[in-house]
Amino acid sequence: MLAVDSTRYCVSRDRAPQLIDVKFPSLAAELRAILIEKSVCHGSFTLASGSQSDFYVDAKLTTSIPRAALLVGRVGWKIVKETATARNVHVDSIGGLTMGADWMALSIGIAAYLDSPSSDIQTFSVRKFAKKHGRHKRIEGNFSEGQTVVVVDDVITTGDSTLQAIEAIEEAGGRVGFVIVLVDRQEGGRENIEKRGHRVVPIFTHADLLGSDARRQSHSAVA
Amino acid sequence: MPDDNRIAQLLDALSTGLSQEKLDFLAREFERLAQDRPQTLTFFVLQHVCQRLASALEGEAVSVERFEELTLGIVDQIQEILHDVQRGSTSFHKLEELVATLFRNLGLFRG
Repeated sequence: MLAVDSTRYCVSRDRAPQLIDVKFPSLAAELRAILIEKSVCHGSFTLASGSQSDFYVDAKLTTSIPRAALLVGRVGWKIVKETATARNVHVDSIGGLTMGADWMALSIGIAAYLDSPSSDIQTFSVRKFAKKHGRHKRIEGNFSEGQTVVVVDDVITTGDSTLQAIEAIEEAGGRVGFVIVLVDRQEGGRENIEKRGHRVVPIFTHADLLGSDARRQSHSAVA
Repeated sequence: MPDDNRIAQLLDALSTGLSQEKLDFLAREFERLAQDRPQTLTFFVLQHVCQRLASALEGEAVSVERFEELTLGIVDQIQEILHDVQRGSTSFHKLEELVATLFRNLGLFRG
C-alpha cells in the first residue's frame, strides 16, 4: 500500500482520485522540480548528436521514479487529450524508440486507462534494430498496421531518435498523429521533426529547466 | 555504381566525426551492406564495432574527455577499411586492429 504523508498530500474529489502535492501549484510544476533535481547535470558533455553542451538531461532518472512516472502520465495524458481533440485525431496507441520512450509511454497509457478505461489506448516500443531472428520485428507491444499513434520521447536534441521511431512506425503501416516530448533541448530537434509534417508538443523546454533556480539546484555530474 | 555511392556516403558521414546517432546510422547501413554485398565479414565486423560503441555512449552523461577516449582511432581505421572495399580488397589484419582498438577504448582487454 502506498504510504502517504498526510501533511503533504491531499486526495482530490475527482472521479479518478489523484495525489496532489500541496507544495506545488500544479502537477507539471512538481514534475519540473523532480527533473531539475534528478535529471539535469552540469559539466562538459558530448551529446548523442555529437555536439558539446554544458548540461545533460538524463530523463530516465526521473521517468523511472514511481511518483514522477505518475506525474508524467497525468501531464502527458492531458496533452494527448487536448492535442488529439484540437487536431481531430483518434489515438490508438502510444510509444517511441526504446528506451527513453518506454517509461513515458507506459505512464501515459496507465493515466489514460485510469481517466477513461473505455479509451482502450495501448502502448508499444520501437527497437533501434530489427530483431535478428523470428519475424524481424522492430515494433514490440500493442501496435498494428493502420493505427494512429502518438510518438513520445524523453529528450530531443536533433530529433534523430524520434525520427527513427517515426520511420519505423510508418514503414510498418502506422500513422503518426503527433509527437510529445518530455524535454525539448531547443537545439533544432523540434523543427527537424515538424519539417517532416509532425506536430511536436514539448512538456518542458530547455528554458523551463535551466532558469537561474534550475542551475542552482541541479547537481554536477562531472567532478 | 550504386554500391560505390553507398560507401562514398558512409565515408562522407565519417569525415565529420562520430556521435552516438551517427554510430547507430552506420551500424544500420553496415548491416544492410553485410546482407547484400560480397564482403559479408567486413561489413559484419564494422556493424558490430559501431553498435558496441553506440551502446557504450547511449543513455548516460558522457564527458567530452570520455567521448574522446572511447572513439580514439576508430574513424581513421573505419575509413581505411572502406577505402580498401572501394578498391575491391579486404584486409583481415585491419579488421583485427579495429576490433582491438574498440576493446582497448572500452577497457575490455583483461591482459
